[in-house]
Amino acid sequence: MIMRLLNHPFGRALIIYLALLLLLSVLILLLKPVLIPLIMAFILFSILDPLKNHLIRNGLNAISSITIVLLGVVIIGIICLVIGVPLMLDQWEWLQTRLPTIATQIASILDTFSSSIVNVMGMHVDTKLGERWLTDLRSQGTDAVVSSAGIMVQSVFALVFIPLITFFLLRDYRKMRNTAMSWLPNRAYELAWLIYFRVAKKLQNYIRSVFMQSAIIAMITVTGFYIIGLDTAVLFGVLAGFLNLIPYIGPLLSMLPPMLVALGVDSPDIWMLISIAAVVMTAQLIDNIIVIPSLIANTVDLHPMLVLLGVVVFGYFFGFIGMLVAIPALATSKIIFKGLMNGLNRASSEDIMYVPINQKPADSNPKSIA
Amino acid sequence: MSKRTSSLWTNLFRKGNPLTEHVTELWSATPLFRDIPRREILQLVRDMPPRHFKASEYIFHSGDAGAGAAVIISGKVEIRSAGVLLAELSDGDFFGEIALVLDVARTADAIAVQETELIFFLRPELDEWLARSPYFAGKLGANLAYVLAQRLLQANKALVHAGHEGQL
Repeated sequence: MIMRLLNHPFGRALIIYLALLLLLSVLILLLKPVLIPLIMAFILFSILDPLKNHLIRNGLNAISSITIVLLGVVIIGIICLVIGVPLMLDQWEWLQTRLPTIATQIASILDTFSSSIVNVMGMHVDTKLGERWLTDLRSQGTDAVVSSAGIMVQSVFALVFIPLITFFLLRDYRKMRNTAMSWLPNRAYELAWLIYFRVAKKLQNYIRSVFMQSAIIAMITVTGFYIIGLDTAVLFGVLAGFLNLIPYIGPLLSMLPPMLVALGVDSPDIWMLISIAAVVMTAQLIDNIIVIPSLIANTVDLHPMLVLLGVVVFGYFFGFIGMLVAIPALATSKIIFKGLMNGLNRASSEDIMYVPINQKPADSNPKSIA
Repeated sequence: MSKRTSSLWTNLFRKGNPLTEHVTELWSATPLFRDIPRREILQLVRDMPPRHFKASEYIFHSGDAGAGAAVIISGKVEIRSAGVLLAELSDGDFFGEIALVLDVARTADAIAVQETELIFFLRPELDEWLARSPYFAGKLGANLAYVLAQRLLQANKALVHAGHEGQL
């Protein structure tokens, strides 16, 4: 059975792919304590590498370019930490004080709906579900606020650790990658480079595009929520940006928290609900008409059905992080598997026209062409 | 001169890795890297480790995925198609440059006739170089076009010659 599998390119590709997956799992397990900063550093590296190259093209040397680019990131990071994080924590605390009212209000709305549903359809709805969820959120929120000092310490640690790793990646990534590639056996060398090339290109494009897209969405929603007078404009705007990283489901989820807050007042304002929906939909419209065609198009070549299934399955097993990594993980798997299949199933050269040069050693010496 | 000053002086003007220097010389002597400054080539080859092949070992088979060109540091390489010898290459010669342009399978076999050491210049490297230094990477593109055009010209001549022989 195994021998039959090994004789077939699909079987060999599958075995190599599973071995790679096992290696990756071991790596993730070993690097678990620093995994998040490491992933953040790689994301930053993907975003900053073109900026570094731009500065090099304009005459700066590599070290100066890396220093300037990283200095910019650290300054932006400090500004976010000093202005953005306290602002969001303030808004989170305000939300905390509102949560009991919101919970009661949502429960009463659900009660009204429930009795209507019972009257019309004869079905019972668990009205305590929303209340329980909000109580859980409140207790988690309290923990988060209590540990806000911890968040600040972690942020400061990340602010030092992530730029440091990013610096070394920007400076030495090429050398590290080439050395790692040199450990491969001769027969796998070129195929591995080709697969790496395709994966790296797709992943880097995807990361750059998606993070730019999320930043744009966050800016639009923060501005929109601020204009319509939502008290938690920054918190929910940034959240909308983050949720946008999850395809299809994210935009819908981003509408939910501000809607709940708008509903959780004594007399819910229908115009506020419409305005929230309008802001999120305007952001999605700009995203679909302007951002996606110019940034995202062709970054990943996956069927929407697969994307949706991937997001749900990854989300079920690995939570929010799983939803974020579903698309890059699926796209990478597809390229690696396809590359292995093509590489192992040695292409017939009959369909590729070979031009015999018939050159003698002297002619074949490329130096003589010059 | 104190020991510290001396070591600083040595570090400032130290010679690079002899192998890197040698490979830089080899690539710069090829038409692919004509008119490209030595420091640019040095940067490209500095982090690329050489590959060793035993005698009779295949470097690539016809139909294999091709990722780039290679220059021979030492040894001998035969290029064969369906068993027919197309070219014998030795130190300083390069081959496989089609893979720098096209994402197609290798069109012939490359076999190390004796213990061979070579260094690859791969498409990912070219792509990154293009982002870092588009002027010189573009120059390599023009040189590559020149090399491939020369090969096409030779092939056309060979075809015309074969046509004439067929008529006779």
